[in-house]
Amino acid sequence: MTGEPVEILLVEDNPNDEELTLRSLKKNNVSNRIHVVRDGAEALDFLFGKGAYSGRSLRDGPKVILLDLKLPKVDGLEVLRHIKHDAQARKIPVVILTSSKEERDIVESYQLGVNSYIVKPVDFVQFTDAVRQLGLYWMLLNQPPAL
Amino acid sequence: MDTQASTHQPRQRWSLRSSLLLKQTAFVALMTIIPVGMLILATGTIARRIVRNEIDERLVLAATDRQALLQIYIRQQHERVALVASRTRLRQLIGDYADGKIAQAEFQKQSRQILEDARRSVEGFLDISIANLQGTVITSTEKTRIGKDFSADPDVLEGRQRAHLGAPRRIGQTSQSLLTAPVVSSGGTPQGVVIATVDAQPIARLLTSQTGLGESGEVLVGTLQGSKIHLLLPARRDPQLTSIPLDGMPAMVPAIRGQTGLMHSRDYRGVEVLAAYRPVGYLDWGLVVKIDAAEAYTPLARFQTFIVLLELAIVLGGLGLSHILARRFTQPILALADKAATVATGDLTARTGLADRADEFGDLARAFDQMAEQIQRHVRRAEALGEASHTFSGSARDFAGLLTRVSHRVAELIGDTCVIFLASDDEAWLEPVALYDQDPEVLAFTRGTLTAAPIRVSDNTMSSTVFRQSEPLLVPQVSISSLRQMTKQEYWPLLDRVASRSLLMVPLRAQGRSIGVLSLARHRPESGAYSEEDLKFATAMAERAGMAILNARLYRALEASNEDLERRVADRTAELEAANKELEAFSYSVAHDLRAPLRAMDGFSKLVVEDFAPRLPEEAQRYLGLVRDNAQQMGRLIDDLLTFSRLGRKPLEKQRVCAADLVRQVVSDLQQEQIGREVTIQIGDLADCIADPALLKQVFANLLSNALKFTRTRNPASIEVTSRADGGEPVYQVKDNGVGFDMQYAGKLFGVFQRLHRAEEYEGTGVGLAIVQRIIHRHGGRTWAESELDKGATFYFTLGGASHDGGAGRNSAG
Repeated sequence: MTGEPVEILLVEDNPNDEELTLRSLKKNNVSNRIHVVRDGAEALDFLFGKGAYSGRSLRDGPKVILLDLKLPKVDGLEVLRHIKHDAQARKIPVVILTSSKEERDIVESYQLGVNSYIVKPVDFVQFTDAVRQLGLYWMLLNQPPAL
Repeated sequence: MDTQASTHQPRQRWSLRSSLLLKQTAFVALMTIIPVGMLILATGTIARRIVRNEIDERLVLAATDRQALLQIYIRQQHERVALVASRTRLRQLIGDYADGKIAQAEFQKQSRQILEDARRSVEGFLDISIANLQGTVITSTEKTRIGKDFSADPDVLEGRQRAHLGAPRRIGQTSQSLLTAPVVSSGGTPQGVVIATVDAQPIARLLTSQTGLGESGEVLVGTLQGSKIHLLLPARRDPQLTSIPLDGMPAMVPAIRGQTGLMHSRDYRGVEVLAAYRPVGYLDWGLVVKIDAAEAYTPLARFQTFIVLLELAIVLGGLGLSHILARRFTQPILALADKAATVATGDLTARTGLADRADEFGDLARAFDQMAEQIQRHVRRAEALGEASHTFSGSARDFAGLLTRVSHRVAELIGDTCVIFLASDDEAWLEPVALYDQDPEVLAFTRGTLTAAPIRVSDNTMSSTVFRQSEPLLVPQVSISSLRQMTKQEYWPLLDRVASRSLLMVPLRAQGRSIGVLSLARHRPESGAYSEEDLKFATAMAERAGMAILNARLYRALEASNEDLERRVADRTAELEAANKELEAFSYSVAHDLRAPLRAMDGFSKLVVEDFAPRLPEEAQRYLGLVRDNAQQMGRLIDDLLTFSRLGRKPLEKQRVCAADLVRQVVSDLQQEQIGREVTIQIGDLADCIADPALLKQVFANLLSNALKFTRTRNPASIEVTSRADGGEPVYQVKDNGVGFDMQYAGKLFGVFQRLHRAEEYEGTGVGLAIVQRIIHRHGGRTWAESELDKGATFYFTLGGASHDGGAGRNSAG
C-alpha cells in the first residue's frame, strides 16, 4: 500500500464485482497498483488523508478513480461531489462504474463533472472488455495534469 | 348624481314654466284686456255723448245769444232811423218843401244840416237821405244821392210803411245795409222815406267775435235767394263768400224756414261740423252757429288717448303682476319638481326647504318631504336588507362576525338595543350571542345582566315565549309595571335603568324551526314606539339572519368534513408518494443489486470454464454455459422491464421528427444483428411527425429488431419501412417476410411477457412489443399487426391527431 504510488482507486462494496474487476484489470496488464476501498467514507478518507489514511497525499495517486454509485455510508454521487469541489482532487479523472442505467444518475454524474460513465454489463465477456478498454484509455492513452 | 340631475332638469323645468307661467300670464292678460276694452268702449261712447251734449248746448247757447244780439241790433237800427224820421223840424221842412213854401236850395241846405247832425250823432250811419213818396231822393248828406230813384228798391218800399233794415249788401270789402223809415207829418200823412246807409261791419264783427266756440267756431246769417243761400254777413272763414249752395250749409234751410234745431253735417268747405240753427226772427233771415266736429271732439280724442294709455298701463301692469304672481306660484312648484327630480335620480336626502311656508305650498312641501323621508327610510331598509343578504352570505366563514354585523345593522336601523339569542345545542338555554347598543353604558349593563341571568327556553320570559311559539312580539308602549310581571326579577334593575319604551322580538328561524330570537328595545325618548313597519323589517332581517346562521353552521360542518377529507387525501397522497418512492428505490435496487449477482454468476462461471476447462467434463462445461445463458437472459429481462417501467414516468418531449433519418440511425445501430446474413432493408417515403424522438427511435428499434429476428430463416430477408396517409394521419408500417404468427394470438402480441414463439427458437424477453405499445399509447396513437403463419408480418402504428402536419417535409427512399 505504501511505497509505490497507487495508480487506480477502486471504490466498490460488492466483493464479487471487486474480484471480477481486479481480475479484468490485471489480466489485461493495465495495472497492478490498485487500491480498493469498500465505501464512500473510506474513499474520501483515502483521497483527503483522513482517518486511517491520515498523512496520505494526493501526490501518491491515484491516477484514476473507478467509482461505484451505490455505496454504504457515503454514496458514489456524494463522493464525486466532494472530489469535484476540491481544487486538487478534481484533476483526477473519475470513472463511474455502476450497474445503474438510470437516466437521472447519468445526468447528475455528468453535472457534477464525471469524466466517464460506464454501465457494468451482466455478460462477463463484455464486462472484461469494458474494463480493459477503460483501463487502457485512462491509464495509457490519457494525459493527466501534474498534481 | 347631482351633475346628472342638472343635465336633464332644465328641459323639464322649461316645459313646466311654459305651461304654467305662460298660461297664467295669458289668462290674466285676457281677464284685464277684455273688460278694460269694454269699459273703454263704454266710456268712449258715454264721453262722446257728454261731449256732444255739451257742444250742442254751447251751440244752442251761442245761437240764442247771436239771435238776441241781432234782434237787439235790428231794433236799435229801427229806433235810430225812426228817430231821424220823427224829427219835427225835418218833417216841417219836408212838408214845406212839398207845399212849395220853401225853395229847393233852401230846403236842401236846411235839411242836410239836420241830416248831417243826425248822422254825426249816430255811429255807423254812413249817409242819410230822404226820398219823396215816389222814391226819388230829395235831400241827402251826400249830394250825389239827390235825384236818385229808389222807387224800385224793396227796402225803400218797405220803409214807406215802417222802419226797416235791409239785407246787408256787399260793396267791395265792406258790407252795407239800407235802413229805411217813413216820414209822417204831424197830421199823420206820409211825407217821404228816410234812407240811411248803415255799415254792417260792426254787427258782423259782433256776431263773429267772442263766439266762445273755439278756433273753428263760425256764425252764419243768411237768407234764401233762389236755390242758393245768400250770406248776409261775411263768413269768418271765407269773408269773400256771398252765396253757397243749399247743401253747403244744410242747417241754414230749416233756420230760414223758422225752425230751431241741431244738425251734424258738412259745411261749404266739406268739413264735418256740428251746427245749431234758428231763425233770426226778422224777415226770412236764418242763423247758423257751427263748430268743426274735429275741434268739438278734441277733448274726447284726448280722453280716448288717455283711456287707451291707461288700458295699456293696466294690461302691462296686469301682465307683470300676473307674471310675478305666477312666478310666485311656479317657483315653489319648480323647487318641488327640482327636488322630485333629484329624488328620482336616487338622492333621497333631498328636501324641499319649503316646509315652513304657511300656505298650500307649505302643505305640499311637507307632504313631499314626508314622502321623501318615507321613501328614504324604505330604501335604507331595502338596502339594509340587500346588504344584509350580501354580507350575511359572505360571512359564512366568520360566524361570530356575522352575528355582530347583524346586531349592529339592526340596532342602527331600528335601534336602540339589539340582542341576538341562539338556542343552545340541547335547546335548553337561549344564549345571548351578539349584543349591540350605541350607548356603551347601556351595552355594558345589558351584557352584565344577561350574563348574570341566563334564560331558559322553558322560562316565562318574553324571549322564551317568542322562541317557543315562533311568533313575533310587538309591545309598542311598555309600562314598566306590566313589564315587571312578564320578566324575571333579575331583569328589573335593567328595566328601571334603561326603561325600555318599546319592545320588538322576532324569532330567528331556519328550515321552519326556531333557532333563536332577535330582540330589540328602544329606551331613548326620541326613538318613539316600534311600528308594524319595524316589525316587518325586523322579520325580514331575522329571516335573512336565520338563513345566514344556518348557512354558517352548514359551512362550519362542511369545513370540518372537508378538513377531514383533505387530511385523508393528504394521508393517502403521502402513502402513495411513499409507495412510489419505495417503488423507485426498488427499481433502483433492481437496476443495481439484481444485476450484480447475475454478473457474478456469469463472471465466475466463465472463470471456471477459463481456468479449469481441461479438468471439467464436457457436460459440466455445457451446464456452466447454461448458467451463463440464463444469467444473461435475466440481465436482459431486467433491462427491458426497467425500460418499460421508466416509460410510465418519463414526460414526453415532443418535437418535429424526421422519421426517415430516425429509421436510418436504427438500421445502422442494428448492423451487429445483420452480420453474416443477407438482409434487404427498404426505407420508403416516410412522413415527418411530432413525437418524442428518443421514444420513437425505441419503437422503430424494437420493431426492426423483431423483424430481423423473425426473418433469421429467410435468405434473403426483406424488411420494408413505409408510411401512408390515412385521413391525414400517417400510418407507419414495418413489414417483413419472416415466420409471421397466427392471427388468432394477435391479441396477446403486445402484452408484457407474452411470447408467440418458443425461447429456444427465438430469444427475447417478451417485453419489446409491450414497450412499443406503451410508447404509442402515450403519444395518443394506435398500433396493430397483420400476419399469416410463415408469410411474414406487418406492424402498424400511428402517433395520434397532433403528431403530424399533413405530410410536409417527406423524405425520399434511402
